[in-house]
Amino acid sequence: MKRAPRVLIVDDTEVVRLTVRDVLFDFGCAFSEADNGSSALTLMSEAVFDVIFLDLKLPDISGMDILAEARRRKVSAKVIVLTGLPAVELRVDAERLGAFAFLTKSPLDWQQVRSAFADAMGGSSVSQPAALQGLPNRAIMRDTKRRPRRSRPAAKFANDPPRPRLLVLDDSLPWLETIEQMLGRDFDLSLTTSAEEAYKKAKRQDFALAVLDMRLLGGISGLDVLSRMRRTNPGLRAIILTAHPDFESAVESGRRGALDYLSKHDVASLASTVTRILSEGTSPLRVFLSYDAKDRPAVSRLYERLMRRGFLPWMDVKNISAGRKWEAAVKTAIDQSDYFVLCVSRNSRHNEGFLRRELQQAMERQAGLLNGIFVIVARLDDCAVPEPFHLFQYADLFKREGFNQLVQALSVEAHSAVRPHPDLAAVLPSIRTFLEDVSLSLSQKGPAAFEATTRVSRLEPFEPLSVFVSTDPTTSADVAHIVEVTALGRRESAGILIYQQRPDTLARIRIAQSRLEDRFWLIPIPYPEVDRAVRERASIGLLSEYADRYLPGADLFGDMNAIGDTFSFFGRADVLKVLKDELLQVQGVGLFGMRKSGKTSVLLQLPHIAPGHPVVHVDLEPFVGAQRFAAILFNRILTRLTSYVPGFRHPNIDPDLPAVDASLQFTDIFSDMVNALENAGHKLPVLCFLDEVDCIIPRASNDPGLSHEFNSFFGALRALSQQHRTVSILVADVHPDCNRINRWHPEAPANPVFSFFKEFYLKPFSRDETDTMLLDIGRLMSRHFDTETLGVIHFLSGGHPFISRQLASLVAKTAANDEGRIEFRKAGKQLSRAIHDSSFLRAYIRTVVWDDHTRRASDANMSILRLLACRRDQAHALSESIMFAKLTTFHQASDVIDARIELEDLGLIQKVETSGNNDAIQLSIGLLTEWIRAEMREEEIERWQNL
Amino acid sequence: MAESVNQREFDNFRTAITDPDWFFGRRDLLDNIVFASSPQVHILLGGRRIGKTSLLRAIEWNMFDTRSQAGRRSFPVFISLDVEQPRSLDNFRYVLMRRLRDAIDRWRHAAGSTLRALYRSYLSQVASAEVSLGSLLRLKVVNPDADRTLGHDDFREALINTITVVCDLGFDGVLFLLDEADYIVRTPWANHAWSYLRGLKDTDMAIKPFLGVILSGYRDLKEYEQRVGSPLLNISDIRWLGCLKNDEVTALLSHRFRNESYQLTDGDVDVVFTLTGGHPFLVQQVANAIIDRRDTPIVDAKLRARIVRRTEIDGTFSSWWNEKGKSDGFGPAERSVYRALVDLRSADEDLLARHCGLSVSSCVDALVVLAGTGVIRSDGDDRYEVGGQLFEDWTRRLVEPLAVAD
Repeated sequence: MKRAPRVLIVDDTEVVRLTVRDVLFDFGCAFSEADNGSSALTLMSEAVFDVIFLDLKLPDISGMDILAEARRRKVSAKVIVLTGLPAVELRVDAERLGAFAFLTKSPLDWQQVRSAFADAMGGSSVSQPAALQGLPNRAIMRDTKRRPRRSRPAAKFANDPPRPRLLVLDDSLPWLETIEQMLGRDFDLSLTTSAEEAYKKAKRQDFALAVLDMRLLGGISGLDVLSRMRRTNPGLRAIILTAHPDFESAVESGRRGALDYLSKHDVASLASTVTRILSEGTSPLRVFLSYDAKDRPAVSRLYERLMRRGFLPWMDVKNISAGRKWEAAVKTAIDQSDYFVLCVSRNSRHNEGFLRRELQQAMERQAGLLNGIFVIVARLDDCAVPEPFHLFQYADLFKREGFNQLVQALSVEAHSAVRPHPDLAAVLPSIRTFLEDVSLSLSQKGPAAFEATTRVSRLEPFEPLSVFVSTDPTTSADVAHIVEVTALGRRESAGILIYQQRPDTLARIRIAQSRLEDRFWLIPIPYPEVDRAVRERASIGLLSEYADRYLPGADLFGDMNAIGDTFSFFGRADVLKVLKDELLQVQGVGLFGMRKSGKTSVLLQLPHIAPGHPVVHVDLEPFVGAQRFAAILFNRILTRLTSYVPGFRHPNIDPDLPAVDASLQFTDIFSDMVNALENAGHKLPVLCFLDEVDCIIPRASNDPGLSHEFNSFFGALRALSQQHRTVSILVADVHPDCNRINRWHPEAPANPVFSFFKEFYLKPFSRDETDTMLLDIGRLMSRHFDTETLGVIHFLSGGHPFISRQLASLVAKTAANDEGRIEFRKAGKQLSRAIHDSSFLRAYIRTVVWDDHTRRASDANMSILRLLACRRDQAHALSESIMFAKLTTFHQASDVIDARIELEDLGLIQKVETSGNNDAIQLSIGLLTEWIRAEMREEEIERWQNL
Repeated sequence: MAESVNQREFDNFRTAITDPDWFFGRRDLLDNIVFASSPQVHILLGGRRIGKTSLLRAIEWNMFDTRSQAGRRSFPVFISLDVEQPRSLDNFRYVLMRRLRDAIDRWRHAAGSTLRALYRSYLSQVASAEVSLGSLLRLKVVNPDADRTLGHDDFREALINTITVVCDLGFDGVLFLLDEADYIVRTPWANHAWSYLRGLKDTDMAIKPFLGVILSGYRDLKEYEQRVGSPLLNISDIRWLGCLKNDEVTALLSHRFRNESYQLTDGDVDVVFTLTGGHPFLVQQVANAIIDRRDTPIVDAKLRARIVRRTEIDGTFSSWWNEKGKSDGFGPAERSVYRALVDLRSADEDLLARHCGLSVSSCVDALVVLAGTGVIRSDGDDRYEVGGQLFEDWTRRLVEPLAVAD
């Protein structure tokens, strides 16, 4: 009898190890597992394995080193590399070190794993159960309860309440792993990569929610999976997750009853989305549509509209699949419906055949309800309503307001776009003030709805304007409701949505769709901006700005200013969260990064996620070169804070007062201010953002008096932060000089904020983030990029969002066809010449990237950039050790190291993982490479190439 | 010989065009500004006499056009900084507010049934020289004539109040058209001034959606904008004005010749285009010459030589060429690239860079200045060619003077 094959699986991710075990289940192997390199080497020395599945990226030792060590020890096991890093060089290196096979994990191909394993075991030497041969692979299906997960604490008590059970279907193991990390702690997960297993599971068990990937292997759609699941489990709630968000699939998701459509780029919001949906505790309302066959076209339209409004309508021709018994399906559907809508017209024959039986069943159910409503009549034309339905209130769908009447009848409470919410009371006073400021006339139309004629002339053609307030996350159903209410019967219309939480992906797509299909321009304004505008008496300015942004014709790509508009702000969710956490713990924070990398935009977003904390945002740029600034800045901080406590009066600090005296006076006044803020219900600490801090840094050549200004200003703030814990300071600029220089000149006292700030750098976007940003903005402008164009924009910009947007703006203006599509065959040429043809981009690269290093005399930085830009082989990165060897011939080693770190922090170069421990680096920004080469004469380029 | 037989409008077409009927070309640029969905900061760059002031005036009357389909109509305020010569940031703020108030006053009194008439009326209004600012401000102006300054708070308050006034007049904001902005970048308070405007445009929520600024200038402005730490960096849309296109030159000449009852032929247009390369000032001057000397064929070398030798043309060309470094015209790189292009007739930036021993980037920079001065043309792709023959002849003359008998 043959012994069981012995298999070692080395991977730091549990779900991968379990998956490999599942895939090889029927081979009857004896498995060992290691989640790090040291354990793997120990196991390899203690036991003999036939096959080792080896991940290359382990927390302690690289897979390549393990492979080399295995070779050195003459380990007989066949090593199958399983990696998420599919670079060609890695494959070559791995094979050189004796790897038997090289497989990628994203996505993991089970057939490849099995056949590689079979090959490693000598082909026929490992028999595959005959029953399984030729059959599709077994699904990878596990319940999280099978084994404890690292990410979730073990249950403490036997009577802990059960966690909501979620079914997660995604064909990509890395994504399952990511989802598991995000949801595993709070939910009981069933993870699967197989649609077939997902059906079975959904049939056997109850799930609170299904999370379904949109595109599955084999061309299966997550929506088809959902539809099939709902045949046996009609109430199953589901959200769609996709790496490729697009207009059509988002709309289709809404039509097929998905409760949300989430981009994988926004996966950070997955947990909150799931929590929200579960907390709402309601499934989409199921609405049975009863009608005469002659009215099918009209009722089909009604079906579509109800879908778009978030209902789950049921219609025989759409919901009964081939082969099912018609009468039984109808009976089940009526039983499971929340409402029965009887569509009547002159065509209706209610006393005949199936229709009569439908009605009978519905009326029996209606009769069982004392006060509730089950049957609702909807007239399709001006027909007489038959008995006994003439006693019912009915909706006239052929009239302008008919559909809204029906929607209200179906459930005002559950599906009103603007639901009353406890938070509403808190925001309404400020919103009302804002609306009064901007309006010539204003009337309230509901708890969270207004109608206004504004003082903004651009809005005049659309008036009176409907204004909606949303304190819950705005959903596509909400947007659909707004469109229905506002756009009905008008050629062009506009409305305002003041929201407290960012609209979800589906809602954003619905907004874009309404621009295209309904010519309805929704102007979404985040509530914190409204609140700020009211305090700064700038309400009309704010409304004008947002009207300019969202009425047709705006170039949202070409935005030069920092972005306060949450709707146009992308990525950075992780940075925002970390900054918020640090600031609320009264930790000084330094936010650094290349000019235009989005630092000020991040500062503008922070108040949105730290509501209740007074925020002072001071731009220090106007103070460049100023001889006296401490007292002026103190006054500015106090003035801003006064807007939070309008009754508070404070003495103005005399600008001529010596900085030290001014700081003492400020500290006293600030303490009183803090009391007033607390009494007014505001939270502490005050968040104080000092943007462009470089502008007030004393340089060695400056007047020594500037050191006193700087030190007094920051000395006071530091004391308030560290001793009183009443203010959190955030400084922002390109370089962290204010945190790194201890003395501004030899005689000056020490810098009070030397090493005070925790440093964070804004990194470039990933390819996915760039794509999401450009596609999303593009939708609002009716511009659609093809994949190749997006790829080139990302390459040229290196993921720097400002550069990406400028490039997108360039091609959006000139390369779009009549349908707004931007195809690479036209856009490619413009992009390839962008550095020559766009004086703006040339100037940006020259001044922001290059001259910045020139000004700081960062010779080693420039040498690294030149060396990388001049390489003959731009396709491959340069080994860091080679770069180091070349440059230390004329730079100090420490300078080269500092330069490498600084350039990486700024996102100008990036590390690329190669075999072994030898990292390689390359320039991140394609445009920078082109610019540097264009700046040099041919002989200079050759000189750097031959260095 | 008199330089021109007739006296025509705009001082024989030597000064900026201030009549909508006499303005041709620049449609894309105008549309880009006039139909913008929100007021922006634009920098218009171009060499001497390329038509920057005319374009600013065209923006002005387009903004006044009540029938325009413009997305936002901002109230335009034309200010020539070379004329005003503000002495400090406070004085600059005063000038901005003063001219804005003057313009409002003139607009209120302007009348006309057509845009042309309305604009003429607007220009002809004598601004009631000192429209009181007192009603707008809680401002202690002791002697406005001697102490013409406005601090930040007063300026801000006045601007917010005035925005309300222009909105009541049917406009959506204020657009400052700052001609000859090079003046300010040469002052020691330039950084403060532009930082100040940038701050209003960037962060002042009550003002930023209502404020647009257009600066015109040449190389000093360009170089200032591109300096590290420049407050103008990355907030503005930069456009270089170039020569007019062939069809625009044709339209201009048709109008000119029709107005002076001169029969225009296709040959005339070709000749004018060849001589001028579409540079608007040169087109006008050659048109003057053609009309003035109806019986002399324009191809006549003597006539060409006469045009080139006219003091004003010669002075303009000298200023462009700037061999003695006295103007803000070309530097060595531009002169070298221009000469190379004269040799090659048509070339792309790579070939020119190799020819001149320059980096591609320096070569592109030089080409942009040359095209923006109107002495070369881009074919819209990546090739350049020499512009007007008049200037080319003039540069040759520096080496081999033309022997032309009068």
